[in-house]
Amino acid sequence: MMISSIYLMIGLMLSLQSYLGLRTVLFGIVLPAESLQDPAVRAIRRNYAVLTGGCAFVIGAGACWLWLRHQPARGLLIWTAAILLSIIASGFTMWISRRSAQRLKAARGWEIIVQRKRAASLAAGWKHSAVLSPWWYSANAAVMALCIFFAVARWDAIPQWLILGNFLFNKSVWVVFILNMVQALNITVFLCYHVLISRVRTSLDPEDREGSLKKQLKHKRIHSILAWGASLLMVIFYGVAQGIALYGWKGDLLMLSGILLCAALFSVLFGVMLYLRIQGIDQIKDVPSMEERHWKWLGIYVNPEDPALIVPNINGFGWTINMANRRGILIVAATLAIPVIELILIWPILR
Amino acid sequence: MLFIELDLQSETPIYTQLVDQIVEGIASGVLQPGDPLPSIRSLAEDLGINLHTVNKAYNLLKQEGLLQVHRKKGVIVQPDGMPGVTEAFEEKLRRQLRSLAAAAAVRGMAEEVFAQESRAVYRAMITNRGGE
Repeated sequence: MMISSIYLMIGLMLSLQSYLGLRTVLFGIVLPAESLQDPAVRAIRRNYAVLTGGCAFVIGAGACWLWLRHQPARGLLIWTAAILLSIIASGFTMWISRRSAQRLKAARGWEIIVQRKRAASLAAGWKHSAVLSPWWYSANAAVMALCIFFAVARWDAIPQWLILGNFLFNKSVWVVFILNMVQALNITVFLCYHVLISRVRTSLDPEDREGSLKKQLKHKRIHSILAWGASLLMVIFYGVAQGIALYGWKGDLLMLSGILLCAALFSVLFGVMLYLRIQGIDQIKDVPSMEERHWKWLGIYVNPEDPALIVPNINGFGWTINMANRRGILIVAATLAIPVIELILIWPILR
Repeated sequence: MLFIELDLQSETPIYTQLVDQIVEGIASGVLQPGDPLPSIRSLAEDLGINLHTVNKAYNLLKQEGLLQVHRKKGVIVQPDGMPGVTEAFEEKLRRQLRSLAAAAAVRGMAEEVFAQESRAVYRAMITNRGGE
């Protein structure tokens, strides 16, 4: 049930992402300001949302039917496949929408004058101060430390056979502390993300330096608070899961806390996206990266002339990596290594 | 806060635009002695220009004695007093004024008007420093 809720949230986010980000950018195609009034532009966004939402509904319905009627024991696999299929479908509809946007731009004869002015602030250190202090993550570490402390203190009281969900584990140091290792990995990953946010390039709009500066500082702050909060909630969830496995807490608590975690995370995410949209904070014009030729395949930024490692995502929410930068490739490799590390952590248990 | 604004299509090289604006910032008092400046990488990323361009600008200012570049402290505005007027600086000033004066004379600008314009620009530059 938890993963089906996750699927619902992901489907909703994929459908609505066309309404995020710069209004003068349509699926990576840069449009002039006058295009905002063009009904064809609104139609392309609407069609994407409807098509993606429709695909997500059909895939979800199929997964539901398969799960409930035929393969109830394989719910996790079915819904994971459904999520992947939805993401692929979204990619396909995004590609169609991008082509429509390109055709519309050509048909209207819209010309974009490439901005040749650049602006930045000379105040050193200000962009780092926009984010939360890394010391906030000591709260997350404190939760983890508390979990470890209780596990160590009550070692003898922990039964030989541990039950978590439908799984049975033989008590060992690895099994008892596996979720603490996952907590540590979670804190590390989010702390790294936090450091990246603080170092993100902040190129100002030459036509509105003060305004764009305020927007970018707010944008960073909101994201850093969101990341910290998400990390804390996940660390608490892993602690609850450990409590269920080690101390015999009610098994229902796992499902309940999981659903609450998902609901909280997605509600906050939607709330933040809505807030950014209403306040206009998502209208961040990163001048050096605004040329379409540097954006490949729906959101991959490749610009060897740009020294920045991380730039605002042209499609809306968050940032993306400059794949022409060697450090960017390292970050992508490290990100892909996270699930591998998690697999290595749980492999002894699965064996 | 001091903002840097570059025009990539200008005939003036980018590093020269950077140097000029930082010097103007120091002259107007917006940048005070000891104030830190962004690192080379940080400023290059924010402006979306080559690291070497920012490096060249910072090095020029360091050679003129207006900036200090430290490994640990980073880049700071000269805290130990600005360099005084030297013969080399006077020669450079004369050279730059020669071309401006020639352009003004060619256009029929009177000497007094040229002097007035120069004074007005100088005074506007140092207004924020309390008219030192």
